[in-house]
Amino acid sequence: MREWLRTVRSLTTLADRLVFATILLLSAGAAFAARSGFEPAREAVVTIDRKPVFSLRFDQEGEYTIPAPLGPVVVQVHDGKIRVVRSSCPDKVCVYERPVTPLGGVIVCAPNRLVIQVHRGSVSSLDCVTQ
Amino acid sequence: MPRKTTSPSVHRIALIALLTATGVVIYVFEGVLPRPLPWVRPGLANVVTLVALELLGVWPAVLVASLRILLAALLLGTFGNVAFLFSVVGGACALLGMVVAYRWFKPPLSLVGVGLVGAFCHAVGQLAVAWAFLIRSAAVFAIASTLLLSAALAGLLVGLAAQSVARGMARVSSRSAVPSAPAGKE
Repeated sequence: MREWLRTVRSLTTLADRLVFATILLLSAGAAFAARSGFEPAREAVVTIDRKPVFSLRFDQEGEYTIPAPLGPVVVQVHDGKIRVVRSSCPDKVCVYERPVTPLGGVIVCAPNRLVIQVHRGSVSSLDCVTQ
Repeated sequence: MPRKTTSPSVHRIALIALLTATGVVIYVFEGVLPRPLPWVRPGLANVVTLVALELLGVWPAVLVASLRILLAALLLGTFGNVAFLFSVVGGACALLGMVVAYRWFKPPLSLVGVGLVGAFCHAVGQLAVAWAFLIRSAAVFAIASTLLLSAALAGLLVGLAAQSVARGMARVSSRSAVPSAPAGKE
């Protein structure tokens, strides 16, 4: 390990290492920014084309079908987490994404331009909207 | 073994083609790595852009970068879709950052630093696209955090790789640029 570090040091300049450290610092800063305001959210908002179409509460278990440009997307609220179970998109990337939890998280289905994300605080005042 | 001399323009064309092809391959294989968001990549393919910058100059580097992005998109079938947008913006930002860093900041920075700057700009570009078209909440910070971390590592790899290539090429051909790492003694 020390040998490796020595090699890296001999190949880089001080300025290089400063840039590296700065990027790491920014990464830590972003992580910090993500954590401030850490009370758990009660609901997640589903947007299509950045317009809110659906609001899902974490405590309302069940499956919900969301109409999306390419076809219906079925979302499941279970155990305090929200995940996509069936989707009309070709690659189904969203189905394999990590569930959205009250602590945060995002699920994106880009072909449908659908995003499920958590809003903390009073950003969205809508209770439930259908398209 | 005596080396046959090829004309400089043929040499340049061959090098551009080689770098572009390598870039496409790297981009494709980079796709299997885990990512915070799909279509968000660490940007390892920028190494060919950096090598082109070092060995050939600014405009060949622009050519290599553009061709790599275009060919990879055509090859993977992602031309025109969301992944393409991330790729173009990320690649363009990385290119811009690297050119600026290379031309004006290279004395303090070495190729490793330029690679880091490129990876950083790549990450910022991708975050901008994500912000503009996909995510508009505090979730973007969580993504920014992992993305910047992977960008730091990717930039380091890109810079070190480019530096090795530059040194190797300088040893082989007298027409190549002199390696720029201050610690290098050939």
